[in-house]
Amino acid sequence: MRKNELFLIFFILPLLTGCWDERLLKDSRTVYLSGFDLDENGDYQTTSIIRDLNISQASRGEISISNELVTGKGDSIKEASMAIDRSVAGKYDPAKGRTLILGNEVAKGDIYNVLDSLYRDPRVDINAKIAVTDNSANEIITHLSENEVEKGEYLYELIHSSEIHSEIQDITLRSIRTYLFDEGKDFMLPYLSKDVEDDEVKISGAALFHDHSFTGQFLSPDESTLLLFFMETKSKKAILTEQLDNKDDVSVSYNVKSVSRKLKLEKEEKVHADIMLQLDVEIVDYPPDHLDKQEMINFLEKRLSKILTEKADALFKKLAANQSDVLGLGRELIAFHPSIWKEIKGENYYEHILVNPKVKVNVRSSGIIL
Amino acid sequence: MKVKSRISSVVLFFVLVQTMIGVGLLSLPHQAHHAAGSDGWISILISGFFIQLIVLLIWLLCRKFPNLTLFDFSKVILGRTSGTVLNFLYIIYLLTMICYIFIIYADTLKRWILPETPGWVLFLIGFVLLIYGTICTVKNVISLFSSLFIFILFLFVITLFVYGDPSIDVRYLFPIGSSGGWNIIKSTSDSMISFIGFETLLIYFAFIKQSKNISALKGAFLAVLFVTIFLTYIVILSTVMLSPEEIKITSEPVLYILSAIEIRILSRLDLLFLSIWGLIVFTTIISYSFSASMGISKLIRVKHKFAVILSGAFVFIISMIFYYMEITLLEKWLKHLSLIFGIIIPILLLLITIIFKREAASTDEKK
Repeated sequence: MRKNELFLIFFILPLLTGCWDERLLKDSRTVYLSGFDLDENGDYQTTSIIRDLNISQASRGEISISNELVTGKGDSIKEASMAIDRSVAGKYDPAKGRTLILGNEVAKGDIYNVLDSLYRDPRVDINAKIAVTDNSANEIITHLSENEVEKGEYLYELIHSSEIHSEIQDITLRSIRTYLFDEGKDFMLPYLSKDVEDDEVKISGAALFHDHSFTGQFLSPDESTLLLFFMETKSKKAILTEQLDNKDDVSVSYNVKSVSRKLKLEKEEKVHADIMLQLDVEIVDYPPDHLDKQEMINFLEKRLSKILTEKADALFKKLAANQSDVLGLGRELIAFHPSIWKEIKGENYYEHILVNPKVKVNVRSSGIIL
Repeated sequence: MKVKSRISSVVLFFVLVQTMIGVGLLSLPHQAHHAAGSDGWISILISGFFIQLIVLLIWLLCRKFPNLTLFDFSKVILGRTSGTVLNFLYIIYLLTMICYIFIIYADTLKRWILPETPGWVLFLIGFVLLIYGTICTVKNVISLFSSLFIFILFLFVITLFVYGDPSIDVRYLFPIGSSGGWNIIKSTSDSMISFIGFETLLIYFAFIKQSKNISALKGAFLAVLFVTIFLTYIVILSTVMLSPEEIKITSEPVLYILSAIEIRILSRLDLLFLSIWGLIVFTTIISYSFSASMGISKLIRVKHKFAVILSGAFVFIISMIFYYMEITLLEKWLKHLSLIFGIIIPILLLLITIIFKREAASTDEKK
């Protein structure tokens, strides 16, 4: 029996599959950041930053990082990356890209054309973040490669911290596909722009999408935070500041602790969506104080509710103008009111929906002082 | 011929669960959605209930022939010649199932993690493992299965990480029943495929202690219940994670979802899932090949070891041929085959035994 087992082990050893499927780090050129653009002829242009690890023999294996900017053109994204592959030494490996940037022109077209090849490759990190720029992706990436050392990571962290502060929707390469294939839901992506004064790349808001393409409009961080409340998907922190009085220049900052939403859909001439939003907030910055008095708290609650309701009104008008159903009202109709959905379904179903938002603010806490 | 070793009915739970949860797990949500839309989970539940009935019927059949496997009592019921033919068909069926599992296994691995590895290597590994796992007594098989059961729980634990994802949308499950009652019921015949493996009960019931007692069924019932809940859970999970149109073009939704999950120190949970899934698939293969080789050894009167090598070689060659010539015949016929061998033939056998009052005692008289 012992002999048999030994024989078996020797038989299996050469079959260990790693031998075929090894991909050595030294052979592949790992990409940390990619961007996609569309040129005048309708060709796709891919811009990537490739990171090289140079392990020097001279100084005791000290590792230095160098970056290389590469571009390639082609009729499809895959052709563009093949073009890059031909121009670099080693194998161009886009799988590890942590962030993808869509140029303005690409985003305005059908973005699934760009993403398709990524979904087909099992090695691609589909947890990557996606962003839209106000100009070409090439410009942003060129800027980053000159000014920031940790390119891909820098953008990733930038987007990630915005997500933590509930300024943009938490969306990855995987979840974006869910939205693209959903007829009753749209989404928003972080909108990057280059600040001329500071010479820095910033997130200036959230780009609104309708169906598969960018509408050209974007929401400011405040607006998108409010929209995230309406979607009940805020993250840990959400700090907003409102000006209470224009004359006295008094403002209050508050952190929204919890959100609850009530949604009622009714079909009249149009589909009326009455949304009642309850926000439990914690005051984090209010110099005039007097929060020990109930009247003061009542005043604050009333004032904030009014301001936020007005803002929400403006927000939903903006969404309606772009037909961007980020709230997922279409999905709500499909799920709970299939008869209404049957009447209005189609590409532009959002025209038939009238949103009537209402916000109620409850002050729950004011930090360690009153 | 009577079987010698005895197993308790609780152990049957592990054997059945390991046989039933197998290669279909990955593509199940895709197929359930294809058949019944967002109501796929209902159709899984219904077929689970249906399988319980079938298991009951199989038990009613087997209790008439205590200590005899299908390969023995088929001769009692149908007579020597047609019984032998039926045994032969069952052996072929079991071996075809293994071939099918082999092909799906190799194909999935090649697409997800081992694109450069030649297909024959995967088949060879399968072949070696099949022989290694099957050359033993039923006791060894059972101890292997019950210890590997922990990995099924492990699969379950991995899927728990999905709940951190913000894009979960419960609304994808609604409206419940949108595909219409009749469509859901029709689709149960498709989702029944995910339960195949229960037909090995025809063989394993022979090993049970006191198989005449209704308590012998306990393990089998619990196993089907467990598998039903597990599969329903997997289907619901994929339905809330992916939008309906998306599931249609995602052939392995579970892997796809897991590949996007990142927990602090681990990313690509799909690779972890796949490697554990590989083990679970092999228990299915071992269970099938154990049954098949038992049939072979009885059919042509050879030792169990020799029968195992014979069935292993058969599976290895046939699945290689099918894989390299890209014959998709198996997939098409599998559904019908499993319905015939898992449900129709046992019911027919039961009817014959009841009508003609066949019992195990009659064999002893003939001998």
